[in-house]
This record gives sequence, C-alpha cells and structure tokens, in this order.
Amino acid sequence: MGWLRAMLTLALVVTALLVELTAIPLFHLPGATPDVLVVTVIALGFVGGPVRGAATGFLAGVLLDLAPPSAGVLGLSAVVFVVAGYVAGTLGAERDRGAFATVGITGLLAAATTLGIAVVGGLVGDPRISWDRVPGLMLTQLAYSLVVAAFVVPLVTVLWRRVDPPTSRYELSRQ
Amino acid sequence: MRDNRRTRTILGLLLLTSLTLVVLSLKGGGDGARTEASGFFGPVQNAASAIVRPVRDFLGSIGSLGSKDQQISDLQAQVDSLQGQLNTTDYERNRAKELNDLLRLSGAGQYKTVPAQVIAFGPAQGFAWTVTIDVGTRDGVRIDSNVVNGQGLVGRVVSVGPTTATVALLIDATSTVGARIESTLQVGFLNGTGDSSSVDLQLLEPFAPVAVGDRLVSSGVTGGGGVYFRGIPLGTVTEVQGTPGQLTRIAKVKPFVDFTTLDLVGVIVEPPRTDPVDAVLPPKPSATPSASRGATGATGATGSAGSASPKPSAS
Repeated sequence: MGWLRAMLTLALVVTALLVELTAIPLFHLPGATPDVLVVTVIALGFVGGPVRGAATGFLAGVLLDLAPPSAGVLGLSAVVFVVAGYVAGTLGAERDRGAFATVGITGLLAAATTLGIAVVGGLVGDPRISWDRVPGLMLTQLAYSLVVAAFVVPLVTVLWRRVDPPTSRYELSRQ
Repeated sequence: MRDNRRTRTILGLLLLTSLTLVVLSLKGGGDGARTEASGFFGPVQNAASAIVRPVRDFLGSIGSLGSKDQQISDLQAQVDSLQGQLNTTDYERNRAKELNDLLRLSGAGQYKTVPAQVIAFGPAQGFAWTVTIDVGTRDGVRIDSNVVNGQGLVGRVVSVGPTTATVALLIDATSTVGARIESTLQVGFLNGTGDSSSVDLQLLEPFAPVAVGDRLVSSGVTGGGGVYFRGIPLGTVTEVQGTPGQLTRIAKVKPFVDFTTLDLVGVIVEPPRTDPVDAVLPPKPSATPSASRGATGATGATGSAGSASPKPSAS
C-alpha cells in the first residue's frame, strides 16, 4: 500500500501549499501567514515516522521554493522542513500522547521552522532575512499554527488510517 | 529503533540534497526550474483563486446582512430617479463618445498596461515580499516589467511563466528604485527594508533638502535593482534621520500603495510611443530660414526637458 500513502502525501502537500499561498492571504491576517504546509508536514511525520516525515518535508520544501511567487534562495525551506518532518516522525503518532500535547508540539515546531528559515537564511547570506521581524513572526506563527493544527492533525491522521488501516496484533493473530 | 542507521542515512541524504540546492541557487541557478514550475502551478493557482474569492466575498457579506434592507430601498429610489433620466440619454451618450475619443487620443502617449489580478502571496515567514499575478508571457509581460496600481508603483516582475508572473514588491528587502523628490527634484534611491509600511530613501546629495511630507516619484535611473520608468508615484517622506551633510542620510518613506491588501494591478507592457517629457514641448522649429536660430531652439528644448518636473504618467 506504499503508493497509496505516497499519493495521499502528495495530494495533501499540494493542497496545503495552494491553501497557504492562494486562500489564506485573502484574509489579510497580521504577522506571519498561517503555515498550513508545515503543519501538514508535521502531521504526516507524526503518522508516517522519521523517514517519511523527512521525505515529506523535502517534497513540501522544494515545492514551496519552486512554486510562484517564490523568490530568493532555492532549497532554504527544504532544509528546514526536512528537519521538521524528521523531528515530528521521531516524536511518533498521536495515540502515545493525547490531543492537546500533539497540537501544542505542532505549534511549537511550526514556530521553530520560522526561526530555522531565518537562521539558515542568515548563514547562507540571504539579504532578505531581517531579525527585527523574527520574534513577531514566531509569536503569530505559534498562535495561528495551534489553531490550524487542531483541525489539520486529526484530519491527516484519519485520512492516513483510512488509506492504510493499521494491522494490529489482534488481526495478525486471527489470521 | 530498528533501522536507526538507515533513518539517519536518509535524513543526511535529504539534507545534503537541500543544501546542494541552496548552494546551486546562490550561484545563480534555479531560475529555469522556477519558470518550469510556474507553468504547472500558474493555472492551478488561477483555478484555486477563482474558487476561493467568491467564498471570501460571501463570508464578508454575511457581516453586513442587517443593513441590506436599507440598502435595497435606497437602490430602489435610485432606480426610479435614473428611469426618469433615461429619456435624455441620447445627448449624453454622444457627449460621452466624444469624451471617450478624446481620452483615447490623449492616452496615445501614455504607457500601455495590462490589468492583472493578484492570485497568490508569498508567506510572510519566507521573508520575501512577492506576489503572483495572473498574466504572463502570453500577455506581453517580461522580466523587469513595471507593475503599478491606482496609487503608484507596486514592484517589478522577477520571473514569468506562460500565464503567471512573480512580482517582487517595492517593500521587498532586495528592491531598489531610483527616486526623485517631486518638489526639489533631488535624486536618491528607495530601498525596501522588509517592513510592509516603510521603505528607506537614500539621497545622493548629502546636503539635499528633504522634509516630512515630500512626495517621491521614480526617476528612471537604474540602481542595480531593475529598470523603472520615470514619473511613477512612490510614496511620502514620514521621517528624516540624520543631519544635513551626514554621509548616510536616510529618510523613512511610506509607500502610496497599501501592500497588505493588494488586489488589482497593472503591468506596463509598452513604454510610451513618444517620450512623455518631450511630448509636452512645442515642436522643433524648421531649419529653413536660419540654421543658427533653429539650433538654439532645439538646445533650449533639450534643456527644459532635462529639468522638467516628472509627471506621474502611469495610468
């Protein structure tokens, strides 16, 4: 069922990318743009594990860096999203924690990617990085991502289970 | 974990690939890939924008439901009074046609613009102030095309696909526009700072007078950040930092354009057929009666062209 999961991942990432670039800016929210894409990557990392999380982060980062209206350094988001997906993957699926902790972790990780972009961008000499804006962006990103995560993480988890139901020990023992 | 080694290898490989992209991009690659990507993402963003926009408008209209009854009766009254005016429209229509022709004629010397809709914004946490617009090479848009709206300069096209183009806004940290103070004709450069409501003006002349409230238009001088036509409105000086004579004298400028609510813009696809500055001058005298007088007249005309106040000529 690997290809079904891959298709779901691709569909979710492209949808999140479109929502973030096209739909959300129409509402003219202050501060950061609610990062639906990175929340989706983190949610897929939770259910998919570190390898799939990192791969999903790479896919999402490269698409964000390529899709219009991208400008500046190509691959910058990819570096940060790979790490975000990997970290989410090592933290594991939601059933180990509970919903509130999951939403909280997602918000913190999303805010950390904003910092990550600024740090990596600063290291490679991206002239656009302005540190004055980083604290404000991180705070608003944290707030927005908590709200986004409350909807996106359960949705991604349900879709993932539906596409590929987990084979439990119980089912295995019955065969 | 069972395949810890494999996991780390894959993580390492993905990071390495991303960093390779970063290095290649810093060396100037990747523009081709972006153009390719816009061929795919452009139509998709167009479609997504067409779906999302009515939903946004509907949500916005819910808030004003209470005032709808009053609005309907107002409109009914307006319809009645307009119905009464309808019988006298023939004369008005002829006059409108004349005015329209006149307008078209006077517009001949102006910039030719293509109207465009903003369909996507770069995320704020990416630090780049860029937007996608729904016109591309098929509509005559090129890299470096100037983008304006009713208020003034919006930015310039930095990459272009068949049906979409990416615009770097005036407030982007990499944006530099040659600027001129409208009243004193002092020249300088307007640099984006990444702040959405303020850009920095750096004057070339350290002793140049600059005051709060001075208005700026583009000077047409190339400043390394792309080519801008002259006379496009830019913004108003809101704060002057430093004293006259200081080498790094910077004024804060508030752009005329509100970048956070950008919607409809125009892309200048054709410069004026005749130079708008020369066009307002009297025609050159013919050289037949006296060659020397003709030459003097031409010199005078050139001189006044150089010092003429640039007029906002972007429509």
